[in-house]
Amino acid sequence: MTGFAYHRPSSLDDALAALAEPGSLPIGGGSDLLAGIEEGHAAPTRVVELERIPELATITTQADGGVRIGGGVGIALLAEAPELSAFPVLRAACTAVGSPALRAMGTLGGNLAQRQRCWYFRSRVGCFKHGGTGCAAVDGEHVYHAIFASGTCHAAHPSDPAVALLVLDARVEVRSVRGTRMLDIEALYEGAAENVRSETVLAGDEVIVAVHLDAAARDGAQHWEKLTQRGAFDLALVSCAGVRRTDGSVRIALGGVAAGPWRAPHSVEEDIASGGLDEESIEALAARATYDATPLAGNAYKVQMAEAAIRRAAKTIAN
Amino acid sequence: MRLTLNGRPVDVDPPGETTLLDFLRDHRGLTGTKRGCDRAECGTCTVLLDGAPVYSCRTLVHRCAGRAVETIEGLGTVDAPHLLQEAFVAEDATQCGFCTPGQIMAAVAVLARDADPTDEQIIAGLSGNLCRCGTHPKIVRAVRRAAAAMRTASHG
Repeated sequence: MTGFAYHRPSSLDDALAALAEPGSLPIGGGSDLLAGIEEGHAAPTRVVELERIPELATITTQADGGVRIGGGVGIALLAEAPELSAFPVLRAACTAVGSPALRAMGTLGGNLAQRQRCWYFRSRVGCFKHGGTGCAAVDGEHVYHAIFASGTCHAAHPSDPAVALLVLDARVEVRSVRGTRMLDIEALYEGAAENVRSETVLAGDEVIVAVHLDAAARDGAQHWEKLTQRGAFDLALVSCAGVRRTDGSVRIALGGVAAGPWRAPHSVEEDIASGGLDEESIEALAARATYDATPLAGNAYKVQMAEAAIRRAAKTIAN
Repeated sequence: MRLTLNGRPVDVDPPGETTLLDFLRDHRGLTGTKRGCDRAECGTCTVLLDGAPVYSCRTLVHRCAGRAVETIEGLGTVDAPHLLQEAFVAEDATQCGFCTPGQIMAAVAVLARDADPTDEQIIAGLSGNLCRCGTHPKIVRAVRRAAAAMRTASHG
């Protein structure tokens, strides 16, 4: 690995000032960033530790029942956090991440900002995200790739928590020396398939300070499922998060199928919310949800998995 | 920076990019922690950081400042093995043995959480530690045996 300095900031302001200098990158647990450095996707002269900054290290329940999760909070901690007992879909998604060690190492902000795990990208072969042109996966090996193409890159985003956060309408608080902005999770991954430098819209000096969950997203019916090849220590082939809010509205999202977490069409969610569905109509809804899928030659099986996952989610949250 | 290594404070100032695995093996001569895939995909380099399992190949040593690192060397010795080490021998839970230190450190974390884990809990707790020889069933038996021995020892 090329050399770099390690900076443990004394405060959030200190961290943001350090990140405003060229060559600095934020680090969480390091499992993804250190891989990126070895693979040549990142070349920091200094990494800036975030996880011990108080504003990033805490989970806070607001007076109205909303929850603010610091971007540096560990995935293992989130998986069992009592503050998240009203958001079981997020706890389940965090439990599904990697392995016990990866969950103990990883932070929420780092998980959301991790790079794609496409083997062409990681091995620097013919990938437009690594100095090449086009996407080698299209004519190559793509069994794990996206079935909803949104641009040049066909990699599927690996984050499990991002899928749960999408159905919780989570908002991401992003900060730099230039100021603070709030992004919907969907907006965080906008343009992921065309962005060479990152899958998120974060600028180089910006960090995920916190993720905010609204009180309106508490409780109701919540569902999580992750389909993998080997059952553990694995990325999702397809993951599925679903919620029916206490106001009756429904949200369904999938992971492993697009460049970012993927949200089902609103008309499908509305039909699930309307209730009274029999087997046949649930099947038709799931098929409608994946109508726009554009699988590659070798990953159409993911369309079937996605439909099956949506059917199960619809049944679980309808009752 | 200062960290606690197997119960003893250590003052060090390694380059920022030094991984905990390089630090343990190359700076401290603690070669019980093995380098497997070197990319957080096998679990062989597992050590404990403040009691939680981490892959030392993808943990920067600076991240361990002010924290406690425990390796297989801190667990037991040939003359005075830990009950987990005894159980791995008794159940013949190794074949080539390369992944064993990581398996045992992950098992320490499992038993620290639950003194009487179910097989499902053991399997989940060791799911980030791969054994290419396929000794997983014996490893689960060894952890179960160690758990029983540790409960007896703590009650006795």
